[in-house]
Amino acid sequence: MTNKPSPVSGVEVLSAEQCWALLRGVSVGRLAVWAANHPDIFPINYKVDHGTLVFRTGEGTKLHAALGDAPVALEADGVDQDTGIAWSVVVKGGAVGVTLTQEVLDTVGLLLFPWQAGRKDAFVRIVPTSITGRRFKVTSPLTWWSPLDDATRAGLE
Amino acid sequence: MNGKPGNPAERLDPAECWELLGQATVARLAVIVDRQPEIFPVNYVLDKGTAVFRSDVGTKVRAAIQDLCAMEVDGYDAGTGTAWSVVVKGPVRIITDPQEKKVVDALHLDPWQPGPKVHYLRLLPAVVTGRRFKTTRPDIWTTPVTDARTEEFH
Repeated sequence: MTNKPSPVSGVEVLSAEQCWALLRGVSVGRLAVWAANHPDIFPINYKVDHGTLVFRTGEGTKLHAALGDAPVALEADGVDQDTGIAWSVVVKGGAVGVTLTQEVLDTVGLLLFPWQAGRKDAFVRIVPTSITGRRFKVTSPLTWWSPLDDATRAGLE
Repeated sequence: MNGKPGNPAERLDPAECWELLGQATVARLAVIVDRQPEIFPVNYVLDKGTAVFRSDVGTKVRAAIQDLCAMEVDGYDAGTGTAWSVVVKGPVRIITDPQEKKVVDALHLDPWQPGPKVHYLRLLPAVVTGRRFKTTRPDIWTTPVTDARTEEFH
């Protein structure tokens, strides 16, 4: 897969395959939703599942209330501290509730770890309508986030 | 305060929110464009109780971000095993006054990625909310590094 340089020099447009690979490598993203008459944004812990993204949210939470048939956008990003190359991937799509069956638990439930203590009993699936990503050298790697370490990947199994 | 069962998240007061906002440099900005949420990372600085950033977003997005926007900043404190998330909501306006731009430049607001970031934008906070919570899996949280803005951005 070759990458087309974007009109802005120094920014590389990523293929869908590359985007998915990067999304699989991290588990915290930020979800933008339309809440009533304004945008809202939440950090979530997600898992890639067969071309979709699944996350948990507590019933009755603000996030849960904000999810309807309206489209959502999820952004995940990261940086390689050694090279200073950062990436950002955005997935847009619809958010649909997932019935908590044994099948769901088997496939994704056990792999999802709530990043926030508390009861999390609603599963939501983002079915993408578009996935876009960019890679670029940050002006200073130190101003970005540190990469996930090996322990993280091992932990996610 | 933190991590008690049944009390998963601690609400932060505005002063705490602003202190945390002052420690970070990267935020995610959410806007609605044609009924579709859009989200993108921005490099920001605080200026007189507002958040200022530069962007090269297109006309449609630029028009949308002059409506209400939501900006989220988060981080993880390894010392306490807690993560935090602060959300600022409000309208964004474009800075056109050259003098005002100079003030912003003096704050070392350098864009976080290459390319011309022609627009200077200011988020006027209408609502600031924040939460702090124990992470059950701290290792999955991305850890913000020490703010090196002072020297690194020159």
